[in-house]
Amino acid sequence: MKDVSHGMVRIEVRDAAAGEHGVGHLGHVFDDGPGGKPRYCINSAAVRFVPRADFEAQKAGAASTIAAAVEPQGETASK
Amino acid sequence: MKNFSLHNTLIHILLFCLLVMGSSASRATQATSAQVRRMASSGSTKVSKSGFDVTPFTAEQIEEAKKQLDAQEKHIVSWRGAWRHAGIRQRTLCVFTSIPLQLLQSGTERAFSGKYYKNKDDGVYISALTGVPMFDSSTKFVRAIAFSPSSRPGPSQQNLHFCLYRIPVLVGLLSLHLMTLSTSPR
Repeated sequence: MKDVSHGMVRIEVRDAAAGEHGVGHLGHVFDDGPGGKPRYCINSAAVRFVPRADFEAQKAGAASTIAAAVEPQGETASK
Repeated sequence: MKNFSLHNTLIHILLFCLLVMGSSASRATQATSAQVRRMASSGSTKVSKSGFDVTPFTAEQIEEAKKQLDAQEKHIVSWRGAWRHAGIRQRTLCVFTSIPLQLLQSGTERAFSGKYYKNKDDGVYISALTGVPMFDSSTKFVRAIAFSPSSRPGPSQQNLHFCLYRIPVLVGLLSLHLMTLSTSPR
């Protein structure tokens, strides 16, 4: 989203999962990153840090939850 | 009397240390309480290329998620278009006071600041509002400003100015977002 506030023209980065409810601003993206790649300037208050071990554990937990939700349906279908 | 003032000073230093330790402990608790958004087991879901649920929140879910944020986080994540979505009460307050106006506008942190500015731990940065994984810490870098040849200082005067850092996209969420921007810029 083009942001023209404060006398600057910047590209705003928003959280797509926040929808169009007036929240979800993360920061801005600029085209002056190394190797011609974009540089994301993100506010630290807009994100939260999750250590790698916790993140992997939460991912595994989510996967097992999905598997548990899917498995009973498979058993019912096989019967 | 001198002993009393020294004792008083030591007590103040001790209280200050306890205060600092308490605030850092609360920050650590807040950091560990961050929950990655779980994949919905049913219903229509929008999944990113990396396999994370990026289905837009409903208005009720957003209100619930906003309760988890502190004032600074609310100030940062609220974007300017919030004015359109604000009720008449908020708009009235916005006209007559300055505090709601700040809350309704998206904010930007001061440079060289922020709670993760010097964070070098290995992990993932997730959205404070929705819990969707955003950036990987392995792609974070410290940017050094390059001097032009004419204004380049001598070897003894060279100084690297640490500036903003980039943490590129981990999931397809922002890729999709940027693709939309590049194909139809407004």
